[in-house]
Amino acid sequence: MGVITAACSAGSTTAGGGNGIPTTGGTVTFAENQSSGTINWIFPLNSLAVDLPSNVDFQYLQWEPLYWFGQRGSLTPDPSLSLAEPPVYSNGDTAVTITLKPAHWSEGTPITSRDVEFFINLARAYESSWSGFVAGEFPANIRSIQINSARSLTLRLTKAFSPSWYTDSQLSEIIPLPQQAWDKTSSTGAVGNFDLTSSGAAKVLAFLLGQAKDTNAYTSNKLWQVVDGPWHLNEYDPDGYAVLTPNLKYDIGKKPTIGKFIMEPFTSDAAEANELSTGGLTYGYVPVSDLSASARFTAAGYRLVPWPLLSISYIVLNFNNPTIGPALKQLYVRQAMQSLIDEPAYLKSFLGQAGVPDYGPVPIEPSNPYATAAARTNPYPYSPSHAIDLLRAHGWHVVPNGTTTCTHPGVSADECGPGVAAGTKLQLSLQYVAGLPYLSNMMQALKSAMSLAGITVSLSQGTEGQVVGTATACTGGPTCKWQAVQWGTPSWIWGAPYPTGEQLFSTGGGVNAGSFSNPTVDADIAAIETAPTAAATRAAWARYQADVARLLPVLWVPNTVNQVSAISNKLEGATPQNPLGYVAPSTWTLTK
Amino acid sequence: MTTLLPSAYAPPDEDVIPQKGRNLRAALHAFLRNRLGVLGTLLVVGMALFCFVGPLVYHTDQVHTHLNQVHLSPSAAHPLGTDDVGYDELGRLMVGGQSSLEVGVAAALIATAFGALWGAIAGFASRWVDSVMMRVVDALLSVPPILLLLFLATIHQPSVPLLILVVSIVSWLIPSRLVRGEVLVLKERDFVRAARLFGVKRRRIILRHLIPNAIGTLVVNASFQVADAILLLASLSYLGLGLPPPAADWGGMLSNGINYLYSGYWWLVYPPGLAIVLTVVGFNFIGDALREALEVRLRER
Repeated sequence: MGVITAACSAGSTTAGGGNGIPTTGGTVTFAENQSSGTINWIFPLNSLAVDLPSNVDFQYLQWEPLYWFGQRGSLTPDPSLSLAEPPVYSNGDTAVTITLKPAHWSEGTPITSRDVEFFINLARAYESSWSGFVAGEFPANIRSIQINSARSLTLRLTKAFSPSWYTDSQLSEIIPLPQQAWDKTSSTGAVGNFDLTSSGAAKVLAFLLGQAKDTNAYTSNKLWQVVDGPWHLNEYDPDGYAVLTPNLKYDIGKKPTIGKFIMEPFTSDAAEANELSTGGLTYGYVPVSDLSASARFTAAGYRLVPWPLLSISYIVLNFNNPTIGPALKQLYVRQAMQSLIDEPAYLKSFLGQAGVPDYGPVPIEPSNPYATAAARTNPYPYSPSHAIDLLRAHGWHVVPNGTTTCTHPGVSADECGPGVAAGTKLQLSLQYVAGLPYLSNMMQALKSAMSLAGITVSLSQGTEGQVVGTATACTGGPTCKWQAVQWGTPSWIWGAPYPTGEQLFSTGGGVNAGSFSNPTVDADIAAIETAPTAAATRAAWARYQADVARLLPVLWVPNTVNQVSAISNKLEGATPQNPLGYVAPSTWTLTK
Repeated sequence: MTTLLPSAYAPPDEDVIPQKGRNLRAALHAFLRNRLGVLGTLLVVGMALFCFVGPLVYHTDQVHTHLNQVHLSPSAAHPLGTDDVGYDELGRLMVGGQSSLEVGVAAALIATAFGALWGAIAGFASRWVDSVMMRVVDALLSVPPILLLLFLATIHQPSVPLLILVVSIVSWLIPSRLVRGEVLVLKERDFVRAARLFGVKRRRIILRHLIPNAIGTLVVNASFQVADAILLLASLSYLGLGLPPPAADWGGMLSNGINYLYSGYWWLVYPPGLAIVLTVVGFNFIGDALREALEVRLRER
């Protein structure tokens, strides 16, 4: 972290900044980070293909979540930005009552309990296509919804849940939506209560998804102008460029003082750095490859602030790929591959230490109460010879710098394992996000190290959208072509302050793109959700971390900070940055 | 007319060959008198030797990364330093040049050959066929080449043969127009008319009479095509759609080096940039010299 700390202290003494006198109006231009993807989806229910941090940021500015976490670096909900009062659990933690603040949609109607129910019904209709979906969890763990009044509702749950888990990991998914404007099945149709039946909800969802696909109509479509967040969309280009202006009717929190918030996409880090060095951005980032030249940016009037997120980084393996899937299902194969990933060396050579090693499912930074001491130890340190030994011991003919093949198929301990046919080659195609030099370097180094054990990795690149779109869960067959992807680091950022892996590593989880399935991990995740006491919760967390680190549902790679932000000295209120990655420009001010 | 024709139609077997030899010698003489042409040849030959013979003399590992040797500045061990994954930059320049030259030369040859054939057929065929064929060319010319390249390069995994194909696809249009223009003039010449009167087949007329007479234009164009293809490949790689690692090409190396511009790693930027410029300039000089050498009017000037 040496480079970054030095940069920070240099930044505080730079000339060219504001004099601290706040102004109203003005424009803030925010650079969308390369690894966050570009904005391409407005409707606040995301499928995995559009579940990009940029989209979530963009949606949150317009539709406020029920509970806003991470403001000022804290992992608890921020009362000034949240739409509801803290939830109240009752009936032995089998019911939760939510009370909304008195607030209004931009068209003037009040925000009601029906708007919360509307979201839940749509999420239910979206089923497994919704990125927040986990079998048996929200919204399936809601038995019934009782509307108490216009601003209060009670969710009756299927069983008792740990309140902290339920608030942080389940209620945090809810984004109330304008039922009185969106509950219809066609553009010309009347608004009704269609969402109350499952077939009606499916029709409403299909209509809204269809509207959201028309990216050219984002500003002209009246649906998207009904917002309750501090901003509404004024200008949008399908390449991801978005201009937002204040929602004058916003009454959940403090109204924005900034006149215009622009989210600007870039095709490469270098392009962003160029714009930054000319002073064209208010809030950008210094690409990792330029960290050694950070003085250039501080001289242009920026302060540099690293932005670690509650996140993890990994390579997704497709366990259902017909060619390589059977081999990937063997733990020893994944262990061999993990032993060929030299995380400390990648950090030292490529990241300038702007990251931390990641050996398991819970990040060690930003500091959080969940990571155990074991999370800092690598169970599979870099060792090509160990990788080769593992493969040889399981019936593979290892050809360093050639192609390793299975010569002893079978299910015994010294054979290749179930489903692995004789002659199976350890060849893996790996697609990763283009435009990030450190990632490209990591992938090259990984390919080189894998070749030492005869594992052939073919690299290809794509945009974030392409890579995420490629990696969708499939059940085998000829269409299940993709083998491995790295869709950027951090690879997964928790939107809620509870770093559980039910979406990532549980059987059928919404973001379990590689279709990993292991009963031990499923049981560990369930134990965290239902642990009755604090001690039991701690024990469940420890077990989960140890098991996932050992069983390798993915291959771990170093976790980078989200970005080293370059924030104009004229912009105040933007730090500390949100460890969950959201931005709240309504709380920022520009100074003269 | 019938009495005139036999004398106007030069029988191919007796006179033409020595005439051709004389022409070639004169053209070579004119080429060698052109200093820039000679310089261009030296540059291109020098680059080819550097890329293809260099690695036999200067051995480097261009397959495995060396994480303890990243971003080393030039030294005795690494005359041009190392890049961001520890590859020796000089060795990489040689390997990268191989693919750049291979793609450049092969794409130029394919594009020129196909374009020549297309243009010759269009020029010689009926007006109707000519119209259709040239509208196809016009339509393809109206598509921005980079768009087509990006499309093809994203749906397929880039490889040297694919890049050759992709670059050829957008490069054959200009030679086809040039050759068609030549053929439209040539087909009214007496020797072609005579050949048609004698019942020589169309295919033979195109291949034996029309294309050989347009060869000057073609050779000149081909040399420019090589330069263009190298640049096109460089821009593709610059956009991240070049050869996947550990393969390299100059454009990709340059694009990579640009990332570290602010960090002052000049050895990652100038060498590949210079290699591209020198090779492209070399081929352009050769093209200019060839044009002067083959164009009789310019030669006598």
